Amino acid sequence: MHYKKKRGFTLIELLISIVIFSLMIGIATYSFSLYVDIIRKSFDPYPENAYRFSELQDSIRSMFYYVGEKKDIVGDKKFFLYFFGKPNSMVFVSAQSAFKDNNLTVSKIFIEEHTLVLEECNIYSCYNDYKNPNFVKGHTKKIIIGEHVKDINIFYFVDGKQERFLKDKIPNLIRMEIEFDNKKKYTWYFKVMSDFLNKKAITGSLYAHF
Amino acid sequence: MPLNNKGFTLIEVLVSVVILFLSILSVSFTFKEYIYYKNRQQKNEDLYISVISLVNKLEGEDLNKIVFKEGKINSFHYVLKIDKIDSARKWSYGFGSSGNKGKFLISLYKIVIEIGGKKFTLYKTRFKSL
Repeated sequence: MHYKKKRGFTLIELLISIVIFSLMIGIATYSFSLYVDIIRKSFDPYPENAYRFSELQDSIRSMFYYVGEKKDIVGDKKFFLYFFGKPNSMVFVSAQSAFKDNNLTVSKIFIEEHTLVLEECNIYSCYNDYKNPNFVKGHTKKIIIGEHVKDINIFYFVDGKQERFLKDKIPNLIRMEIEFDNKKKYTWYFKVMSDFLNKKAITGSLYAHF
Repeated sequence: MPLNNKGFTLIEVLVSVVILFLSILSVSFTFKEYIYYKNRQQKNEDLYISVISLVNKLEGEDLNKIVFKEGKINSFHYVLKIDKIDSARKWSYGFGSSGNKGKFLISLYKIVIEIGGKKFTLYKTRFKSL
């Protein structure tokens, strides 16, 4: 009777087969994760970038005609519209928090380590001064609007006139030119939708006061 | 210890080559699909943001002065067509003793934006004090 040779696998054969097997499992897992990502993205109702843009737009569109109060050198009270616009950053009061806090927030848009950030701080809280609100360390929240951002240029339009610096005035339209690290450039427009009657009443009283 | 010097048979080599080929093909296909969907998604997002930006820009402009406009935004070429559909004179009353607040003209505009091979139609109203 003829018997088959009963020799098993050698250690080298076993190791090589384990390496090949793990490689194939790795490839399969990678492919599967790519497919899952495709499926997730195609069913995503809010694409990531568009969602972040919407958050930023909601915040800017709901810009609030907030009247701040400060004392001058003599000690007299001075009222001012809370807005500080620079070519690469913007500070304003918004009625629409990106974190849905249902409160007025002092918001700042700026670049921090190649990331476009929207930072918020609640105005009516014990740690902030509602007359002249600011960012209190440890009590701010940040939302990332864009990553790998190289530069940002902000233009402010007030009654058709373009400004690079704006203080104590609320712009009608804001143009943001954003350059990413991969040299892609985007232009975003944001319309400030503050109520016309409020604007008239507030600015009217402000100028009458001075 | 004597090493086994026996090589692989032709069948073994062929089977392993086929398996390797199939796995490479599957990965490359998946990767191509991924890149295609990613680019499509990126284009759609860019288009969405560009259209909203254009609408925001229009909010601050006098629609009476624009009938046809062409331009470029975020690497998309766009064409704007604005038609005034209707206008009506209205007046608003104030509460209490404040009385009539005044007359105004309300106009309805149809805005067609052609951008990135797609067409978007929207309607906007404008008020003007008389």
